[in-house]
Amino acid sequence: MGERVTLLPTCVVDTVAPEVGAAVVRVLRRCGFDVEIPGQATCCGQPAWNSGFTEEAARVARTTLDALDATDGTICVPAGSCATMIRVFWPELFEMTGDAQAAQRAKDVGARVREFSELIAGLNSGASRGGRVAYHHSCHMLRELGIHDAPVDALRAAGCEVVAWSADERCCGFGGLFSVKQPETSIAMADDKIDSLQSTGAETLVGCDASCLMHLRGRMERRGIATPVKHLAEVLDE
Amino acid sequence: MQRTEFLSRLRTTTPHNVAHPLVHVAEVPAVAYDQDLDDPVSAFMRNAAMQGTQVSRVGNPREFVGDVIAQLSAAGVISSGDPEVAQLGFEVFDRPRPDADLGVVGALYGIAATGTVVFHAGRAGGRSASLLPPAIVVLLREDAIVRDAGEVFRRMTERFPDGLPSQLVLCTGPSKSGDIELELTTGVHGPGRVFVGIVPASE
Amino acid sequence: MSRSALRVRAAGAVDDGRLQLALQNATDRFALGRGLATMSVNWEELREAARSIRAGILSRLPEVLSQLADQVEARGGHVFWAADAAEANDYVASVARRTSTKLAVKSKSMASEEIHLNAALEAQGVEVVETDLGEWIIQLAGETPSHIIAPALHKNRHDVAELFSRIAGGDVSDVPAELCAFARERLREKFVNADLGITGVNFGVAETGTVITVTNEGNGRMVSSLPRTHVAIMGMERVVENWTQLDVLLALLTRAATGQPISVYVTAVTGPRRANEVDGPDEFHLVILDNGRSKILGTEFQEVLHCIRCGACLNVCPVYRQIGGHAYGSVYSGPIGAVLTPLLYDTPEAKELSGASSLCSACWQACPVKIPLQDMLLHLRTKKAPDARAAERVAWKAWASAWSSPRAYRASTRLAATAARMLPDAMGPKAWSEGRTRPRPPKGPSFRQRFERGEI
Repeated sequence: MGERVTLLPTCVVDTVAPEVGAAVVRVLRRCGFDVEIPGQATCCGQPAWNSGFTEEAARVARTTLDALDATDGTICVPAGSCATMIRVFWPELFEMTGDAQAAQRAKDVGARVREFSELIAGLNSGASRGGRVAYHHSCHMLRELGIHDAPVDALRAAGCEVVAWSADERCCGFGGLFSVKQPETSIAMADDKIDSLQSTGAETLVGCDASCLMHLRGRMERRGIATPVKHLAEVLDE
Repeated sequence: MQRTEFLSRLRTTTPHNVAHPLVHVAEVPAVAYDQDLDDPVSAFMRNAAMQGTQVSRVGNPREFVGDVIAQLSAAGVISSGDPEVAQLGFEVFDRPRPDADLGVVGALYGIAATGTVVFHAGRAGGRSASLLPPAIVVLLREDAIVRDAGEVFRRMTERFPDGLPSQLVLCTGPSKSGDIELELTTGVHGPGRVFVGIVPASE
Repeated sequence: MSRSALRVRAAGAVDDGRLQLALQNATDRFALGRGLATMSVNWEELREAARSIRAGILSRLPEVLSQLADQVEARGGHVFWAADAAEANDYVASVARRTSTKLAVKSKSMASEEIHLNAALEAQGVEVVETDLGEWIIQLAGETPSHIIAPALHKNRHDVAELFSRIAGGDVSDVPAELCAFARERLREKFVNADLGITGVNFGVAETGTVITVTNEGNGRMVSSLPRTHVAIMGMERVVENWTQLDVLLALLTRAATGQPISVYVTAVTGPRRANEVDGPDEFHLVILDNGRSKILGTEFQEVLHCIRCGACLNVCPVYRQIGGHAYGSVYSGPIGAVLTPLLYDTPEAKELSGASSLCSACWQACPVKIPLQDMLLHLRTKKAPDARAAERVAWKAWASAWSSPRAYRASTRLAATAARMLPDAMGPKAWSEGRTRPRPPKGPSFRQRFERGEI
């Protein structure tokens, strides 16, 4: 029996990226974890939070809080933005909506949350994929959680050459509903990143937020750029 | 609006931020420069040169200024009232001179960490001799060079026991602009050429 | 549904190839300079201290402003307390009248642009000339600034040459050095003949009644040295208590703004000239401006008043990089503008600006005083959510109902996956599909179902 870890799939995985969820589970197991998924957990509430609908965000977040609160030990969240929502913003969200008790419970749950690359840092996933990849630093993960090296190190440990590219830390332009409320700007931001990628020779674009990847992949496909776009877990699972 | 009414409208609170809490810092930290400032004169010369100042150590101030005049073929030379230049015999600035092409001035301090000279309007007898001409030569006493701006700023009341002058200017190199395509050009309004001569400490 | 004004301006900007080049050039260069400069001092320690310093100052603002005013007056200066733009403009106009001012020269002041001071003076026949090169360029072009530090960054050398040629009545070459020489000559005449000099204030130092202006060109010195009267316009939050605090904030300002350890000129003015000076103004006036800032004190947005107007947030903002300053439709652009503008101006256009962000937090990372602008953008969205269209409010309520129920969540995620798969690529929200393909999740049982069945 390995160390038990609770996995919060995230709503992006549950709706449009099940293959990321599957890869996360397999990689975690290879790292020695026993994975459990609480059936009562839904979404962290971030879509509504970012749009300013705090009551609605709190309702949904509360369901997931209760589900995670019923677990103990480490909670793995395979998305930088969702891990940030829980660790950085849940206490504020519940305080704003007048639920002081939930705010305190959120702090305790937040302390147990690990973003995927953060959790597997230094562990041997057995991956030996190699290849030349470019890594996209998603915003919340980089700036709110301060996680920069863990995913890059994991790629290198798997034998990948991680190329330097000038736009690697720049926002991809997804930003939740920003992607459809300011679509011209959102797409221009994606193009800025994609153009910077072109001369690097990277054969895969890798990231830790399936939402960013969905947006970048969507734009690259529309532009006829064949470079695959994958979550870190999928690359380590190859 | 009257002062009392204006001020009465100001609520006084401290920010409450749950996601990014404000950290109370009790003591104002020093600015720590990542360079060797143990020899302030060398550091001053290095930093001033980096900013485009032509800086040198000077044994004979009159000769030094004469050399600059010759180098620039300066015809109209004006001087401030600073003590460093008082003995040199140049015409002291007392009204705007459009034809003045060199200003000869003294500095109250030099700041090593940035290659900065400090002009004191009262001591200079005015503000324009170091400002209007297209080139200036600054005489700076070696013992007036301090390590960094904090040595001046953090001891302001000690350094100016009778209060501050009407104008103090920290001047670092020639006047610059990057307003056109961010390309650097010099001499936009202030002097485009700055010479600094470091003279021995006064007896 | 009609597009918002913000969206229309932004869409125009991203299509403007010349603007795009200018923005990329500028933001890349600023980033390089800032990166190098911040490494040369104890940057993180200074930022953390600066946030605390600014918070302390604002929590004591009445005392700090009182001390500043007392000191200015003790040195023979005048202080005017301007509740709003109209009061500030009336005061400066009255000073201009009393001093028979025909020509006023200005060095950079965002506060004066905010209150439209130039127009107020021009209305009574005063010629007002901007002397910061970038500001003069946009004044000649009849435009507003597109960046806090580099107001004309949207103009290239050909644009500037064209503008200058018009006033020269002949051709001016488009070499930057020659353009600057032209500006120097033209503006020198204005400096020397001006009756009134108007500056902004980077910092007011309460301890000694000193106003600090930071420039690279020397126009700040000119404007506060040559004309007989000097008026300084200061946003009321732009104060420090003492010179020790100034040391820290100045070190942060110049590095964050342009990557310089110090600007070419730091001018510290304390009252009018003394008896033993041959030049310098006879009169010094400090206008302390509220104009909506007091409304921000005591709210969750108070930290926006910590801003020292360095422009770093503009330089790192991935949205600003694409749309430029004019797309914000305000004197203040970029992340700081997106927060400050709706707080100062209660208009629908201003309220849209919190949408001009992907909440990436790059602004917070770059901010020398650590203002959590991303939090403020989010709070602004929260404040305006009740005014959203009914369709949006209903949609969020339905979403919350479904996704707070584990069973309904499971059902809806299956539905969403099916819908994503089944709709042709061109369908779905047009705003997504016009530029991007949609995700195509695989068929079959959901991730959770497969996990629960032991199939993973």
